[in-house]
Amino acid sequence: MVQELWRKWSCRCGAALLAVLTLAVAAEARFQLQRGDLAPPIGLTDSAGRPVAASGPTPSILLFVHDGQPRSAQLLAALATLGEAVRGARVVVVASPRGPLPVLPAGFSAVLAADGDGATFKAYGVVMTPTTVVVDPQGKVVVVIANQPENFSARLGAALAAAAGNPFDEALLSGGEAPAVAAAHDHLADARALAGEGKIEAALAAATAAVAADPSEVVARQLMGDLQLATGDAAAARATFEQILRDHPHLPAAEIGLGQALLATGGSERAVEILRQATRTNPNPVRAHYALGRFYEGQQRWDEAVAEYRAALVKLKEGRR
Amino acid sequence: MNRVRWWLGWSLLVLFASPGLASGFSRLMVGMELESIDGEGIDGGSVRLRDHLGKRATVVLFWASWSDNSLPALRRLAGYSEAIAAGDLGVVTVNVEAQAPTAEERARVAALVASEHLPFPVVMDLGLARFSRFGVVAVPSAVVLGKEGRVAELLIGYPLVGRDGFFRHLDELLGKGAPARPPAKVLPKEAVRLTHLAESLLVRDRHAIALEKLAEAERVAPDFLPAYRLAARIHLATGDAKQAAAAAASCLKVAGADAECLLLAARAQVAEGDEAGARARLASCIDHHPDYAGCLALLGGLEVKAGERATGLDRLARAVALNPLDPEIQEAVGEGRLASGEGEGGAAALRKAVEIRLGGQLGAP
Repeated sequence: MVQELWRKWSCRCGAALLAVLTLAVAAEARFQLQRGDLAPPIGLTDSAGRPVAASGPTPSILLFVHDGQPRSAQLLAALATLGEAVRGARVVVVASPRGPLPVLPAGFSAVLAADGDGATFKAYGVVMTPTTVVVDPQGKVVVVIANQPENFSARLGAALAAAAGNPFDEALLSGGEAPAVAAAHDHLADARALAGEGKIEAALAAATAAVAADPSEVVARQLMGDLQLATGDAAAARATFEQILRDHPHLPAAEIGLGQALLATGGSERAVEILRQATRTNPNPVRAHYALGRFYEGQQRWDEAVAEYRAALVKLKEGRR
Repeated sequence: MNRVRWWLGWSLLVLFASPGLASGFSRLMVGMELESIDGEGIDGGSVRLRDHLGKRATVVLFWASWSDNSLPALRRLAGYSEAIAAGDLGVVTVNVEAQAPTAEERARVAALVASEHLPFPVVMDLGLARFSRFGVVAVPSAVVLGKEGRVAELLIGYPLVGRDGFFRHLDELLGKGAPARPPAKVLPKEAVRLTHLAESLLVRDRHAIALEKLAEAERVAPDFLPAYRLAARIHLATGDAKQAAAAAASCLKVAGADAECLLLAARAQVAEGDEAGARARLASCIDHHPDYAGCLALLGGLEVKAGERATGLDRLARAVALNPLDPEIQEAVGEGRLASGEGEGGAAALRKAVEIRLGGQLGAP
């Protein structure tokens, strides 16, 4: 029954997914801060109730993290070991609205601020945690580093040197990725561009190449899963999302992707459970509501489908995805 | 229960109508410069607007193969261009087939262009970026640019009443008829800049600052309609119906029959509970602009709500035929069908509204 529904809807599902994919591309392009941009105000207070500024008299390192997330914990631990490299810098840890304040590693000094309503994450366009932003004393962004690339400490060092007005390695600051990472990013950019043009098969090939070049590149893996869904290969998509979630438990977009893939491969009970959970906990639950709406529509449960679509529209009008 | 659900749906529709998604030529008015429409042509080459400017007039026509009136409009424009304009008219068309046209849809557009021997370039509006940026309200719709590249005329839809006047105005611009109206006033660029700035602030929920910028734009250019329209939409989105009504009233003071201003004024009236007044206003909008899909959709919805089901659903069907790519119209159609007990049709229209809003943000500036 579910497979029949999938066949019936797969073509239209593909188009809708494509829209979602291209939306994600556009959203990232729109929000990504660039070097030289004025850092948006933080608008938060520290644990003592004092306002937290985006910049200070010395270079500032803003860390956007999610408590309980292994990658965020790894980044904080890595920073704690850098010692001399970050000495003199002011470190602000902004905690995700989806979790409590993290516990800092021993000996690591930083201002802690909880972004309860997500406004600071939104203002900085943070689409994944951890993300590191270095701000110079003039309040301008020096670098934005997503995740923790292999050359993280070297890039951070270059950014802090630039922020302090000292000599720095321009190539390192502007990327300086390891060849495999750079290749993955090139393929990923191709995949996004092709998806935006509606060339799904070619986009999937590029995303697959990105994952082959750098298997740890989670954004490419997510895109590959979405494109597998868009091309109707739900079984492959399911495997991709399962793997992502093994490496990054509770990654919101992967959870929704898995829910969609499960719906298409017959695991509707688990899929509905996952998607329901996503509508309650994911700050961007539109895809989850949409997938549930499609599921109920396929079962001719119109009232439930309408409820999901209405909820999706309310979230979209709030500026969520 | 259905009535409650209906009211809830309509309240949400009115209160949260997204200011980012235009529902008319809401970012254009006569006198403005047109931003670039450059893009990939149906033949795979690139199309640049500036290559077609500099003639006495240039028409930019938005069309789609699914639109009943697009083919007649294309044919008449092609005939006019060849027989009357004789090289004095530039024409660029923008195909708004779908957000992400499939290979089949592209092939359908290419086949139509070939079979009709259309003598002008066709830009494929991938992601409907241009459609959203200019706020096309009905398909087809046209923008006429004067020699200097400023908007000289807007044609919303292809109504029986209006299309002849449109071609008469082209005659005037081409020097083939007696000038019947003064040339368009030049609008200060600063007002356009401030309005764009206000729009960009909405992305970060800075409504108050956006309204300040719009007030500044209104001071710089008191007859700049897009600033009033955007202010009214922001007030509607934030639930301030009184201020929305005031902004729409200012807009109507400048241009008494502007379709978008009439629609916004009607929305404010609905939000304030004056549905009879809103219906009268919408009837006036449709009298002046028979193809203005937003007015048709809102009036159709109010009619269904008032129990005039057949009339309302007819009007909603007309609205969605003119512009199936507008999420607000799809949402109105969905709620209208649900209120009429059509669960399947209602769910399908709401699904389309979600899909369009997801994709519609692609092209938002």
